[in-house]
Amino acid sequence: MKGLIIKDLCVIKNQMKSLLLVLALFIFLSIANKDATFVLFLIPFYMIMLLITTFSYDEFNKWECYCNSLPLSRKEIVKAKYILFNASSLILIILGILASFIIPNFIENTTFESIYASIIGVAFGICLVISLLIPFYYKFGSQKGRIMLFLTIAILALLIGMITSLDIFNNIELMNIINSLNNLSLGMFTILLIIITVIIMAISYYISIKIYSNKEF
Amino acid sequence: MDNIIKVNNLTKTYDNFILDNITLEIKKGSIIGLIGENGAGKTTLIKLLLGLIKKDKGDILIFNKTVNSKVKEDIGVVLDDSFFPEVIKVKDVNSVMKNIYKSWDEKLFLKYLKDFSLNENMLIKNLSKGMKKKLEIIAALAHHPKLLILDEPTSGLDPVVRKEILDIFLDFIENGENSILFSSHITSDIESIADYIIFIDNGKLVFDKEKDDILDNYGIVKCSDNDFKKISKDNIISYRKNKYNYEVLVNDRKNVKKNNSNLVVDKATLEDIMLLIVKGEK
Repeated sequence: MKGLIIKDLCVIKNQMKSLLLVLALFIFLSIANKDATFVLFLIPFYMIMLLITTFSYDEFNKWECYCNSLPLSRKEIVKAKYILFNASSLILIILGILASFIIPNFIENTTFESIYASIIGVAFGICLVISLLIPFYYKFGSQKGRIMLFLTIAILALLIGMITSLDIFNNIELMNIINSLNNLSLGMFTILLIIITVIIMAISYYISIKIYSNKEF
Repeated sequence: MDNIIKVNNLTKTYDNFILDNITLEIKKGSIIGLIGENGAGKTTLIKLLLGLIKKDKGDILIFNKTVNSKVKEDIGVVLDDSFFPEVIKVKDVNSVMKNIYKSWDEKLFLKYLKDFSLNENMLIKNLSKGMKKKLEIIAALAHHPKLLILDEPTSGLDPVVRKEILDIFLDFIENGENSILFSSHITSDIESIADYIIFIDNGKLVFDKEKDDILDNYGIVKCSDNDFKKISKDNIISYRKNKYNYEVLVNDRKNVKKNNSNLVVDKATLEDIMLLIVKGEK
């Protein structure tokens, strides 16, 4: 399993140079513009794109077929992808939290709390996308998987939009519950999001194993 | 002798293709050539052996065990057109494989790279076709497997590289413990190194025989309509009617020659045999 993670890191490594350049440019721009949101949203987006390339190259060189001839169980193969994706997000989140201490020193009108809150929000978004992305890529392959993923996210957004416009939100009790979320401390809010993320990720992991175990190459 | 692979009534059905009830045994210490047309089922059989696709029916035993990841520790694999992502370097293959195979021999791998003058800092995508194939074979050998399963390892390569690769295979089985299952449609490669021939056509097993048995006994007769009728039906495996003559594949060329002394009976090459069985009539 460790070998598989190394393989993906090798794939990513060879695209790193251009990435670091872009990263440096973003950081410079955000300092120059005194606006941190730019970096906050673009870096995770870039990370996900990079991780997706590991799927694309796997498919392009029919790695899955070869990989399944090696002494590895299908569960290990899926696990390796989840570890890679989640470990990358974790590193990014830690970097983000560090940044939320540092950025206020450079950019006026920003506070630790405001940046931290957006980072936690973005991190939750990343984990959500990853938990959808991996099963979709295993099920449909990288070409169709991408389209299906965007479709699903679009439909989800639409559904959430429809639900929030429903009458139940005029219900005072429900509004009270939602409002009470606003009163949660940042720490409590973080813990709540971590719990939700872990549950979603676990469901996604078991679905992926199910899909991959039945796959033919 | 022990059997290294045992396949019983193996069946796999696709929409437009059936690998039908294959039964065969592969003996330890030998090279087995798997021949057949493109699409005859060679790759399907190999994929079934490796568990890449699921069988509908039948049994597969390798080293007398059902195939799992532990059994695969002792198998080396070269697949047609399926390998590492091409954006990694040759030396990365080593870093990955030593974390996958328990018995991965880093020194041996690096020695092979040197022997075949493969530059370890090159990206896989920049290797020539022959170089890439050699890397795939080295990657299959560097964990001291007992069985090599190779799907078209020599196709698309020039004669020099092919010869080099066939020599590696001969070295590999020298100790009498190792075996190779080797599919190819380049019948001359199989003819030069295989001990046994498995011939599959359209998903069915045509024969599973010792190579010398085939090459010593099978023959090709080119003859007229009249002569064709005189050849005993028992000896004819298949025939093809050309514009001016018949081309007949016979299973016992000495016998045919004895009974029909006027006929010219040539030795049959694997290519002749394959062509006449696939294209001929029975």
